[in-house]
Amino acid sequence: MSARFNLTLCLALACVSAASGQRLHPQVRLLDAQGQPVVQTGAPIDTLKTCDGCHDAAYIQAHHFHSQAGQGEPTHPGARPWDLSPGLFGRWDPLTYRRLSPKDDPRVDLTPEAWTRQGTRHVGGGPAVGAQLDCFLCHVNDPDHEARLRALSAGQGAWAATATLSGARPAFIIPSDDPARPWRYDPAAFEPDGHLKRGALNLQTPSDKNCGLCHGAVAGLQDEITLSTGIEHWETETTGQIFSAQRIKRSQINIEEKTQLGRPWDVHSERMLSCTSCHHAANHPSAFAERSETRPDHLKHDARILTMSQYLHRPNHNFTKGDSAQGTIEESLDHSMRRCEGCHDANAVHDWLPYKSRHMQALLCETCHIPKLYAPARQQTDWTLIDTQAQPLVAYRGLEGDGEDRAALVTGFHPVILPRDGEATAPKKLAPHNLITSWFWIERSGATHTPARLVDLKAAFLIGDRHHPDLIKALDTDGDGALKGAELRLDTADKVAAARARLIAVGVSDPQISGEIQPYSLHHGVAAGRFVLKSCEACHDESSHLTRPFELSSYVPFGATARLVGDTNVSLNGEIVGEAGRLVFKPDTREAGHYILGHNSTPYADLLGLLSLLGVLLGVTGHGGLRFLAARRQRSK
Amino acid sequence: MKVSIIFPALVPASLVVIGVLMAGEPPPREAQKDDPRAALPQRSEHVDHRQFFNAEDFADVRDDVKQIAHRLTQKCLDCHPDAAESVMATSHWHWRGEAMSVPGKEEKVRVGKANLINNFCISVQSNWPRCTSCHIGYGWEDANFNFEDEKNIDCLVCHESTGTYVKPSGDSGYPEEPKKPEGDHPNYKVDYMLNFAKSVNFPSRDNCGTCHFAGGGGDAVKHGDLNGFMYNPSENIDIHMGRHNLNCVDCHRTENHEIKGRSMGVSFDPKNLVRCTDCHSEQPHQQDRLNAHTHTVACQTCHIPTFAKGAATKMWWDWSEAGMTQEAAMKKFGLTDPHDYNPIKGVFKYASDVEPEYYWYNGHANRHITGDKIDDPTKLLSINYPLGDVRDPNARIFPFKVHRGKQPYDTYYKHLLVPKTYGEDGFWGMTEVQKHDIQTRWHISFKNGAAEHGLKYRGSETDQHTFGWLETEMFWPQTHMVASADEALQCNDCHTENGQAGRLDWKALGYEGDPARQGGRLQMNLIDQYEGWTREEWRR
Repeated sequence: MSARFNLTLCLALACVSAASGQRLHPQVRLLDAQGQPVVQTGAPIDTLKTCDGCHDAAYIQAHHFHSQAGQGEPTHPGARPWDLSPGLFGRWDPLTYRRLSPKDDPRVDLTPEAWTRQGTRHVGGGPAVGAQLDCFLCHVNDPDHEARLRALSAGQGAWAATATLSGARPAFIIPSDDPARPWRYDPAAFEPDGHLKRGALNLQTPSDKNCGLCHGAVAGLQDEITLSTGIEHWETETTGQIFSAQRIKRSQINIEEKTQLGRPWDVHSERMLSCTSCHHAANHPSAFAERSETRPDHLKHDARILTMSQYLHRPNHNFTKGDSAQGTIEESLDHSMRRCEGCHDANAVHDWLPYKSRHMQALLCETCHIPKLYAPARQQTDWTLIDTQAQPLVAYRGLEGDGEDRAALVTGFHPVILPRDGEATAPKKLAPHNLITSWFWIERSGATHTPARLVDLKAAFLIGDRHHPDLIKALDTDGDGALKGAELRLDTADKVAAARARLIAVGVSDPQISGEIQPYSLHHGVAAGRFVLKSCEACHDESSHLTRPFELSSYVPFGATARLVGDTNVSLNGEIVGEAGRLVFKPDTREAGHYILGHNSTPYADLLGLLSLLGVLLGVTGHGGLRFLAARRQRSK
Repeated sequence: MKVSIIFPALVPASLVVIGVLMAGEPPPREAQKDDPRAALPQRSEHVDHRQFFNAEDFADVRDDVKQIAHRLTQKCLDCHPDAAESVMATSHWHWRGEAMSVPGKEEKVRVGKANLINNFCISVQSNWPRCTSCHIGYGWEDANFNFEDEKNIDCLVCHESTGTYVKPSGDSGYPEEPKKPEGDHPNYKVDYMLNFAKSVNFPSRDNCGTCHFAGGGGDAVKHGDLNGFMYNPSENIDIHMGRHNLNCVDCHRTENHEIKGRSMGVSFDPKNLVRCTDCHSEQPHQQDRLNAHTHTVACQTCHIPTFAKGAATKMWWDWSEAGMTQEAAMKKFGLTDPHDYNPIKGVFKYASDVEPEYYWYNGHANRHITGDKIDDPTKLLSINYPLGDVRDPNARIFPFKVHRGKQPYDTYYKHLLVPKTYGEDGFWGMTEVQKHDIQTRWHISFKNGAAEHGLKYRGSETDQHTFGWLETEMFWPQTHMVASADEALQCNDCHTENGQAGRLDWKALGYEGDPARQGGRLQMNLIDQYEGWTREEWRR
């Protein structure tokens, strides 16, 4: 009842705020774990206590896959044997490498505490140890993400949300020298009852920039977009996608033929959509659309939806999502978001397209509308050796030069087109993807296979900030006493043996190199107009966009093979071949059940065509010849 | 025999196969295209005029460039007898247009550059020799210029094609005297002028630009969207002239010397306006959403995201601070660029790549006419301003350069004053030689200017403190320096999130808020129809 009263009060205040031009959310009292105003106690902010006055914090926590991170969910069929969950917490990722250890694991790699300390791409709560769900990370317009990560890294998880709020300007949360209380509150920003003064804190619906903190590069029209590689820009790193309305030609990235790129990075961003336009709360009343599986055929829209106050009390933080190749978490929400067809009537604007329905049966919209990515994406990650900073060897596609060099030339890349699982009865549609190949050591102990621990890699390959002498001896081809560049490749049997010996020496059991290919679906970076793949020749000739060879790895560790991860929704329709030391995927659309006119050839059809042509020619010639002979015969009579 | 059986069977078989392949879906429909190039005027090759001019015809006037110029005009008119009449009917000739209605005035007024006040150099009257170097005539040096004498027409300024014809400042529109060559060349002045005459052609960018790119007395000063970069612009400066190589007269089409186009500074109705739709279709975008904007937003609003590309334009001119030495002024105002102060003119502010200001504009404008009363000199006076508002179905949101500054007015009669600036008894002439104190200089210039203008002026030798300074603004619609689709404004430039400031101030424009989210003019019942579209039709 109290919560309902508070919510009503909030809504009333919101109306006043809106009418006066202020942001919608009323000012709040920041409370500590005891429910006391932090400005009075000096304790860290307790987000649940603070927000629970109006919003049902327990409900939100329980309906929040960003927070739960896959905890408690079963892994998908085909998942790696060492995966503990399908989400960020428990699913091993070769890009970050650290593997969460089961409770009884004698060789601990990563504990939940250590996982929490890493902080990256997790909003707190759920499996995080000592770090609450950080509402501010997504709901203030100026969160200090770096401060939050520092707090987590320092083991000060209780202060993480407080650190996030330190980005508010003018600042009312100020760093302190007291290690027990690393932040203090400026009383001038608070009313006597503990409420923040108007304008001190702008709480809002998540903006693209909030999402971008974990998900990748986003930018406003006037923001500077620079080349930024690294897993802190996750989606951009894995897919080359940048969500921005800004025209590509205006970015600060050195992109090949940039002046021709008058298109925005993403047309939806240009047309004023934000992340939450599609990935909204599952029960958002204005966006809610019942899924076709349960909606009666006669009903276009069910008006029995939540009221705004009901929604604000219990906003379901399980955001609507699609069904990407890499997104294995919360399968029950797959396809819950509107796809292209949910907003667009493609039929109305594709009259120019011959065999329209056939194209739309065979292709996802993205196949034509994301023809090329203009930021580099990761191509391969090689953990078979590490550099002196204990980092893997990484290569990018669509980039000439070093990813750390802002002046490096970005050539962009054409995605690989893969068949994606559809409905059980529907054919597989072709969709654009990036493929990231990872090479790593597997430790085998009986039937148990797990990736070698990072701590073991460091112990085996490094001594301080130098490589182990045994490795240098085996790999230092230029004799300078250090390993760098192409020297850090296990491309011969001797090199593999040297590295393997080092791992065995530090206790890794029966190490063997394994390769894994993770597909990443592309759904952002959408183009419109002349930048869309439109010409028939693009797909229907010999060098079809659909079957363009796709480099998986610029080199292959000796004797290693790579295979597709098992818990994805796409398949590799073609063959993986070694070519001049590289690993290349050569798609074949026929394997996906698609015969591409003008590109594929079938002998009997070719023969029939040839015979038809010859038949016509001979028929005409024969007929003409007979007429000629008949005419001569007539004359001779 | 076998062959004769197989082949007749194969022919229909192949036809069946082809038929099967072709069946199923209709052929794609041809998209409707915007084809502006088809609307461009087609011109035949211009006649070579070299044969029509002989030096012997100018023997009696060979030592006088002015007389040669007049004679040349007569030669032109020998073959183009109707040209004089048509030229002399234009506002380019009179610097006044047809009589026009101005809000608040019962009678129509016949005004123009010749008799209006602006907030740059203020007025032509009393300063003719300087200003009329941009007139299409010869010899307009005072109020007695003979507009009926066809010899006074300067054909060359619009038609010569050497690009070297100069009408120097202060010579009342006469051409520059050539330098005397070494040796004996008695006909050098005739040869000099005939060189221009023999080159005549259709007007080029050079002909128009020599005056219009330098409006306000220098490159880029006045218009904002016109400057010397437009002689040979890149497509980033202007897509029409840069990428598509259009000339001024491709859009400013001309019939009987009546050149299409209006300047809101001197013309207040939309008659004879150049419109984008002269070449482009009404719905030129491939995106319906963009086409839906064309009822409310002028093409220029999105396609001229900035003006003063390449060269800075004047945004502020404060006459009240004129008369100081350059050094003193730079120090007083903390200026670093010497262009920001001129002792004879005052303080300036320049800017390049300027984002326009946006206002409703229905093609009509209000205009302060010389001698109009100033209601409140403490308030900003709009010398002109666009008409239209959110409830006007004919109005569109339009981009403007707004030039602001301070200029003199008579504190007793409460009207703007016209200083005589040019000449020895003008403010500039007196300041250059520091003749009199600053107060007296202004007094003399106002007295002389008022006399030429027929304006009342309260000041006298004993009381020179009857003038003051008030802030004024002038609106200049931006129509050149057009950007391609790739450079035009994007949705987020105006339609922002979370109440952030965008290009357009929706509330100032009369909306409740961003129409993308709150609905446009029809949905919000602000208007009943868009140019023939009723609300019901629009909703359908």
